[in-house]
Amino acid sequence: MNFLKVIKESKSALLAIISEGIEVADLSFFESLHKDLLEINSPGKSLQVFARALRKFTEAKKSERMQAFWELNSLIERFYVSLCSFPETSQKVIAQNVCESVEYKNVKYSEIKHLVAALASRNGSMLNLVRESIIRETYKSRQLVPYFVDCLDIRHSETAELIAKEILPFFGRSIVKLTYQKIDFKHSVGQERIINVLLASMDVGEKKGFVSELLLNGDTLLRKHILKTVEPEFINKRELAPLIDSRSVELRDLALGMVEKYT
Amino acid sequence: MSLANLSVIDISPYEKGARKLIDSCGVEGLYIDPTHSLLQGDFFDGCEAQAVVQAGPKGYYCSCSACGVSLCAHSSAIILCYSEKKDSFEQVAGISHLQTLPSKANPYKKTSVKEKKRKPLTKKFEIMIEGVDLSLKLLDEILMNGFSASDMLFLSRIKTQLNKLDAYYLGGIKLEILELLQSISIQQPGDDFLSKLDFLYRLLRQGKEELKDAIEQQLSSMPYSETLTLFGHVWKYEELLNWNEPRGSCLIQLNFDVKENLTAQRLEENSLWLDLEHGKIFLSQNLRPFKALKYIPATDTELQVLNCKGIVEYPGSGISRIRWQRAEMIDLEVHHVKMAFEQASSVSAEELKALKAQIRDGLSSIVPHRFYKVDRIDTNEGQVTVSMNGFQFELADTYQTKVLNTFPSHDLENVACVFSFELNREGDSFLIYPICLLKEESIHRLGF
Repeated sequence: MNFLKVIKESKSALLAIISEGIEVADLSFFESLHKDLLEINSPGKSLQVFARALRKFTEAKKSERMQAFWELNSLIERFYVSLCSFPETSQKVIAQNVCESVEYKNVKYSEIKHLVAALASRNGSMLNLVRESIIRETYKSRQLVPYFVDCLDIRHSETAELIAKEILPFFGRSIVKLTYQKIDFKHSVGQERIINVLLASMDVGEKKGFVSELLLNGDTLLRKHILKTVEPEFINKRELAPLIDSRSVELRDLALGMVEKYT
Repeated sequence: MSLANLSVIDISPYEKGARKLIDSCGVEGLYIDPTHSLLQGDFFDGCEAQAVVQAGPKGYYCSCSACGVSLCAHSSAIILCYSEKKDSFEQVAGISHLQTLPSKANPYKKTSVKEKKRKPLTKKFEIMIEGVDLSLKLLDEILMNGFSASDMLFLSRIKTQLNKLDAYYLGGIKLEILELLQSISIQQPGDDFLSKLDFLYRLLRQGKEELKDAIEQQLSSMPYSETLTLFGHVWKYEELLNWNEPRGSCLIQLNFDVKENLTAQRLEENSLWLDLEHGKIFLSQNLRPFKALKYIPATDTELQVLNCKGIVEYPGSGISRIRWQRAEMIDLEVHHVKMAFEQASSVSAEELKALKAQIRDGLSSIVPHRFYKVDRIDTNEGQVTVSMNGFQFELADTYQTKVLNTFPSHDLENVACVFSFELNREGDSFLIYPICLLKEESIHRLGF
């Protein structure tokens, strides 16, 4: 018997009961669960306590049922928390993040609270606040990096462009990991901008790998964008071969153009 | 002037109010000082007034902020009691606060907290117990009725009854139940609804027991318990001094955040501090009601070390909330950070077990925080793993975790980190949030 599963099912049943109203609720789930628990050979202490609470709840008179409910709910909650686990992982992740140290600035919350609120909610005052932060240099706060990276795909391109061109270069390679998480191989708003930011921040090896990944898995529009913007030395010839046979005329021409550049 | 002159005082404008006062909450601590022709009584009617009446022209004083030195319902109630039940007054002589009627020069001087504490707060505790019973009854009614069947009329009736809880000094419980009702009206309740119900039930039961104990022990101040804070009791610094020896300490701010509590209609500014001497994590809160935002100064990120004097702790089993009398700023230097870094402890199986028990059994609304030594933190495609003392945990996906991606790998080795732990009911596991990263010589906030 999976005790966690039983506890979770009991929680759902309790929710259904209080939704209906304890006075008129159907207690059959708990009655049958009680019977099942009784049939277990040599049950543990927890099961015995649980079975007792179930019996008290199902057999209680109407006047005492409320009290029995509170006790059962409390017990279920305690069992549940005890059965929850810490997010332990056996997976050995050794991923090196090599980036130069950046001269971040310690900025007080009061100085950036409006900017944070605007970036988080993506409201109309974003552009002015981003401009203001550039003038005051408050954008140099480490805590703002996830917000800036997150805003690269917003529809309001002026703000996103400003962030991409004026702000993110300051953080150098330290934004690569975060920005890479925003890549969507299916073309969506702002993907070209994200790719440009990544290409500008990556070193040669990373750039080559990233371009190859995009040409292999990317959407036609993203492939076109790569072929238009990236220098030939970052493109592996072998990855161009399938593009030459592409049904998209533009992509085919771009791939052929790139091959010509090679030769 | 003798006490016989009291009968000449015309209390007719306040008579009705005075009767109501006597009938509804009664008068406690009735004292008579014949030498100085003084009468005194305490009221627990929401004003918590202490009125003193002296025979003679304008010989009234009431600590209630609405009354002052003119004849009021409280003073009239004492005169009424004196005219009807002289025997109920206990004769005293030479008690300082009875001998001196407040001077006209300082008519609104309230009785000091120390003076008030002399008498047991039995009446107040009894009122609170009544309120607790009412709250339990309301919860029972909601559950008996079933929330899917509860119509607008039923909910508005419950809300009207909930509003009464303020008069029982249970403002906190009122907000908790209101929040619960709001959550029902917005969406179908989930697992956390049951846990909130359990929390409320345990809180009310435990609070009731503590109030009963307080009556038995004839406490003259609020019992030092977190449940009372959750009931809505606002601790004054002087009250906390009764239970705490004020101390001085140097604090480093680890995190600052602001939350909007719409149910309570206030901004909650929370600062997390590390005590450099004991390595303990504390919380300080600045609660700013929306209505009084411009009158209560905002707090902010503190990048310096705070040398605090007169630190007192609020009651609580989890992370302690503190406040202090005064603080001076000191520039943060490397030796401060080193001192802080050394306070980090190592995680162990027993430690995790205790943490789980704290989440399971605690009645605190504040999630537990721990300051651990970390061997290394690895960031890989959105998954951030922390390795400490043989344990390897995945950190929750939050913006603080994302900030960790901006550190080079070598900066995330042999560090110390403050984590907060929360239960994730969807995944049947605990979520671990990084709050602040400390290296031997530098401190890096992941939040604000």
